[in-house]
Amino acid sequence: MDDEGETLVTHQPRSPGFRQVAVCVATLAMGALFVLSCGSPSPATPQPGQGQDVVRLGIQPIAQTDPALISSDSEVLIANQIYDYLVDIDPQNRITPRLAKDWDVSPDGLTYTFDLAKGVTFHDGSAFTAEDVVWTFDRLRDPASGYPTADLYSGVTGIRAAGDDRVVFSLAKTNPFFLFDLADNHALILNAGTEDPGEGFNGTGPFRVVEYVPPDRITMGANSDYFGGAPQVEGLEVTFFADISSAVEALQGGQLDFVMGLSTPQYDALRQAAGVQTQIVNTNAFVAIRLRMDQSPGDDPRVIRALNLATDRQALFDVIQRGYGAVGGSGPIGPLYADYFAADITPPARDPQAAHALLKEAGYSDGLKLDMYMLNTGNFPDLGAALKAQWAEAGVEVDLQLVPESVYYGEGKWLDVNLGITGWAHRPYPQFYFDVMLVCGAKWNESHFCDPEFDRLVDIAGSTLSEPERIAAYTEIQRILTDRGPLIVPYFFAQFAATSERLQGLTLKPFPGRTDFRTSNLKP
Amino acid sequence: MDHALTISPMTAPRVGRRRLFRALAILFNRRASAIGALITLAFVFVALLGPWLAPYGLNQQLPASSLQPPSPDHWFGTDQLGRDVFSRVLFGASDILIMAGLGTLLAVLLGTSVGLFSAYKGGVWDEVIMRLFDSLLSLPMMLLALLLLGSLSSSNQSVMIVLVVVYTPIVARVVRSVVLSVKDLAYVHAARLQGESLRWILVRAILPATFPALAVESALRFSYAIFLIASLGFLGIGFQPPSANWGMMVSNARELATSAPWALYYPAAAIAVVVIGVNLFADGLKRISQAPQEFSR
Repeated sequence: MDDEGETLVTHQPRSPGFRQVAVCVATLAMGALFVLSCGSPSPATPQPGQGQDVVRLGIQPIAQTDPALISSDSEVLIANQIYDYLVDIDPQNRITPRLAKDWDVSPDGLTYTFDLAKGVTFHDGSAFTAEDVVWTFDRLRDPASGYPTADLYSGVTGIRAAGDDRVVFSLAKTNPFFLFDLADNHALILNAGTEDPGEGFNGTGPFRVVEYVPPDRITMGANSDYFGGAPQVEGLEVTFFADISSAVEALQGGQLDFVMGLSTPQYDALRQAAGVQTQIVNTNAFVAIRLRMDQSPGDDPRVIRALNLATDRQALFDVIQRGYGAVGGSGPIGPLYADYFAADITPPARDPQAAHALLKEAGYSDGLKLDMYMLNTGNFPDLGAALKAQWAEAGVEVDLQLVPESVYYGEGKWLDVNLGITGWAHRPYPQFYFDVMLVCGAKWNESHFCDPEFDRLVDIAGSTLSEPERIAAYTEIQRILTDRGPLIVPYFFAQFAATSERLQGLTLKPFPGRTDFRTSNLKP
Repeated sequence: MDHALTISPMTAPRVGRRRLFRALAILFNRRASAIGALITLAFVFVALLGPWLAPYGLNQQLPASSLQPPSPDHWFGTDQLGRDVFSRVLFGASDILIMAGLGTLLAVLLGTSVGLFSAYKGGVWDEVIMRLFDSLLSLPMMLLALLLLGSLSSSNQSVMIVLVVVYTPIVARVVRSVVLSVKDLAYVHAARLQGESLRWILVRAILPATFPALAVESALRFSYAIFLIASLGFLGIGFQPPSANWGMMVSNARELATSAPWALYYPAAAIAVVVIGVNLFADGLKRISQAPQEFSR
């Protein structure tokens, strides 16, 4: 910087001309190219000895490899190829066998008995037995472990092996979603006694790790002894991309076969691209706009009603999601939950004048000013800008506060801020959302909503073995959330992925990390 | 700069109309400088009047018209939220140029004062101030900006503070180098012998000698400030939506490069054109400053 200043003082005059203009433009162009190329590792190329039957994946970098701690799509995707779940979830949100080939539930709903697949071995050659299942779930439910699954399995009173091929779970109280709990992302079966589950990668899964070079890539070979049948490809070559745009470019350049986590514009662009196939799957992932109900101004129900009236969910869905996914309402149950979703319970139609009048009635005749916190990534900034414009018509002035993920979640800001927008991931069943974010005192109750009647219904829905009773409870829950709940859910997300034309037999799952490469194959 | 040193502020008459015409003649003598000056003027005009010229509001959204290509209704098309890109580029001109201008002005005022004082006083003062500035200059400009913004809230004032902190040392060093060459000249000694005050000597005798270098430096700092503000906007630091910071507009439209390139290219072009224009203008100013003999005729 200093040199720039001195240069001005001492250099001889030069004659700027159009050549200099051209040089300026060229420099800018080169700079832009440099910036665009930053963070783009070279995609993996098949290594010597590997055939062309290697699927090349481009995903975001992983930080965790211990199954008990994985959370991102990328981490789950890697683990899901190396390890197996006891039971799995198919793309239609149904429970399917995996290491457990069959199961039985006692009439009182408190005992689950699983018959395990026979002849299964870990990648190191040791045999898989019921003890491995017991050890894995005891580890996951240990309250002292600090694992996120400790709460999830707190209702499990005992797990025991009944021989090598049978395992029995006992529950303290009925849990109609217990099989889904067993299929939780973290519940990958480890070899009993594994000392450091984050290393070694000794699973029973369809692919075994050949080489892991953090933070660049991980190479896997097909497990030809896989109990469910050997994969149809020779292996997986996973390259990590900090910026998914670079992975998209690599896919279009024929250097990758699979990219997930696409944004809506990327998906739209790739739909028209040659040599690329796209996949879309609706999910129940959503964003929740919420105002805290335990402090001003959200402690006045008229304010929350006014914000609801000021919001045009359909417009947000059309503009931000471009019509992919589903329009939201006032709660976390989306159309994907089929019978649980009450389509006839809808939030009030947008009416900014009525919203303005309500705010006036609540004492905000000069308008309401609020700071709204959200992540600075994805389409949160667009959503914030769109909401700001919509709410301005009702006299609500919003200052957007975009913060990094490390601050919003890492420092717990999302639980403290008065007005915020939070993203919630897809879950195979809705009970989770109510248990952790909406019942009184729930650990992630960011809106500080508390309604005894609501809690009673949540308890019924989460314990009854009668499906009609559960449906009735969820319907009533949705009615309460629409009438007096804290949430504005503008939309439910779709997930997008793109593949090369040669990759076949792959079905994207609502939680993309659970996508299975066992049955995929590559066209010659 | 050697030429600049030959100007005697004691004898130099005030720049009158003839000198202004002469300066303009030098500026417009070369097409590149002329184009740079016109571009700069045009953008300053847009910056001042942009909000009144814009056909749509800064965050006015027409959801049914999102991602429309350029048309008579939307000269630069619309973005993903259905906002008029042309209007946002005009609003962005106000934001960026006014902020860059004010930031540069403050940095030049502060840098000039500190540079004058440091060079004239010399000794320990000069050592301490220059080493302090050296330590600031040893950090990459963007890193320094990010560090500062990390500890400040996201606001225009914070960005202004960043510009001042980042550019003051550079301006101060330029001014200091000129003052060091001038302070021992005969006319400054004469002023001292005449019993003139320190303030008079600094402001009336020495300061005018720095003007040519300062003019060029200010123009360059201005263009760097535009670039820095746009870069911060691109990184999403220091600005919050729905700001029309051109860098932020480029960042938001990155994924639209193939489906709606107009949302990306117009704000990017605005950055490129104004930075090139101001740089060419700075070159013109440099040529004026390096032709003092012609001026004094």
